Amino acid sequence: MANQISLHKIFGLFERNWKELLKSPKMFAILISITWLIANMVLPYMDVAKETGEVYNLLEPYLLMFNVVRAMIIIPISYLLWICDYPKAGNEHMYSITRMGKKNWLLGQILFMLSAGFLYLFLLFVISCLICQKNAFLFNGYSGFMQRLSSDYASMNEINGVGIAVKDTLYCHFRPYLAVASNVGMMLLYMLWSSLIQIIFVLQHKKAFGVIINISLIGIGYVTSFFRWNIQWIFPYGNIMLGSHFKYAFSEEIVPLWYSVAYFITGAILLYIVARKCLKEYSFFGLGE
Amino acid sequence: MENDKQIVCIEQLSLTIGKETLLKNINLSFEQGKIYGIIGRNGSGKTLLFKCVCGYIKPTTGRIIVNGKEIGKEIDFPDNTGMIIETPGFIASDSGFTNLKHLADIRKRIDNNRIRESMESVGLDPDNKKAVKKYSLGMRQRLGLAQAIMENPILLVLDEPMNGLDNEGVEDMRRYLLQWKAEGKTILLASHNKEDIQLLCDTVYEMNKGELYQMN
Repeated sequence: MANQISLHKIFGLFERNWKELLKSPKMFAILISITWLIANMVLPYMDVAKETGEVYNLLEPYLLMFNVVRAMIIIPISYLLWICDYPKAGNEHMYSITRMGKKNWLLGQILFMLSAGFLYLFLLFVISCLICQKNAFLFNGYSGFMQRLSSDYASMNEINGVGIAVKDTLYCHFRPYLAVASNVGMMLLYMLWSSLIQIIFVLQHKKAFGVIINISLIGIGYVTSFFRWNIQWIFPYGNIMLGSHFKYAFSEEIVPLWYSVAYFITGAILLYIVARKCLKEYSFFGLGE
Repeated sequence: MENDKQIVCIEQLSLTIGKETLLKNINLSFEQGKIYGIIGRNGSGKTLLFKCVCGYIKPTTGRIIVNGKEIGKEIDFPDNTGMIIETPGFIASDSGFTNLKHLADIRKRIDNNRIRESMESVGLDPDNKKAVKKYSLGMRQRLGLAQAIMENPILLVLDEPMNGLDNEGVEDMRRYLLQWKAEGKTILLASHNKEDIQLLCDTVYEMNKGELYQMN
């Protein structure tokens, strides 16, 4: 019985983890990170548009967060902060783990962590859409404003220090709906990677190493993407930024988008297999001692 | 053919961690409706053996079959088993009843009345809203017992259940154990206290440096 997958048990753990997380002070850190992204990406975009009397696509400010190298680092770091002390397998959880079985416990943890990532991205989406809706349109095409931002309005754009223009390689190759779907999908898969890495190291009794590996992936990914080194494709960070897939506007792809999607999915499957194996071998030495 | 009344069967169980062999070739079986005691010094391997039986630790060699199912192969943790391994762990900020309710909701085998009944049967008030972090060690131990028995298991694995109990608590605990034995439950009991073991157990084993000997 305990080895069978039970949705009731998986969602029970999911609900319990959420109740615990919502009471955690880490919620404030998440709100701060959302506020930072809105204040440094969405609002400056709106301001420049307002000053120049331009209108823009409602999805454009949201896309900036995934496609400006210096901004995108905030998303995986915030997510890591949120999940870094999960999954909890301490003494106070021993009786629940026994009752739900290892497979249900693992799936419940993955579902919970992934839902945290989804909520974060969803909140960013909703808040950015609500703030921008006044001067924006919704259509599967980009505004002239977005295309002029890095050329005609470059001096206004750099005022906030982040630089909110996206590369022409993004808007020349991906329509907004596809861009949002690809960015969110790949970011969720990256979050799944982070969660599974964290779970694997918790199951090795080395939670801190999980955090270090995750931070290293973000850090090295950031540097290699920033300088556009070829090894950026080894790291999830570089794969998410759609504009990086092309060298120039209307040029051939450096790495096709589907390669990146396959890379994330294959990685997630491999990490899940490793996590299952670690859980099978996991000894609760610390429990009850 | 395995004995119909055989609840636990341990075959050639060994546990090695690093270079140290902590459990050495243990073979034994436990039958229904009996209390089995294991005594031994601290660090002799009693708790490790219980953790293996409960599925918390995977043995290096050998196999453990509980209720006809092999732990680690057919099932992760033994079904229909109540357990306390040393200090029972609970969510500290929740009340005793809320903790048990969370646990009962996982399997959905029992209702709130049964939880209340289990708490009352070990001398706890289910309406007490006090958080578990404010419980004394004895109360936590009782809550651990309520957790172990609430789903009416046929096997109880109790590691030092008398820890932290006062004399009255110890007397109560002895009474509960005999009552559960009369109900047909099999009980594995580890204790430092020889008096408990002599008074309660049908068969007693001594664990010494990972080896198990049956005592007369």
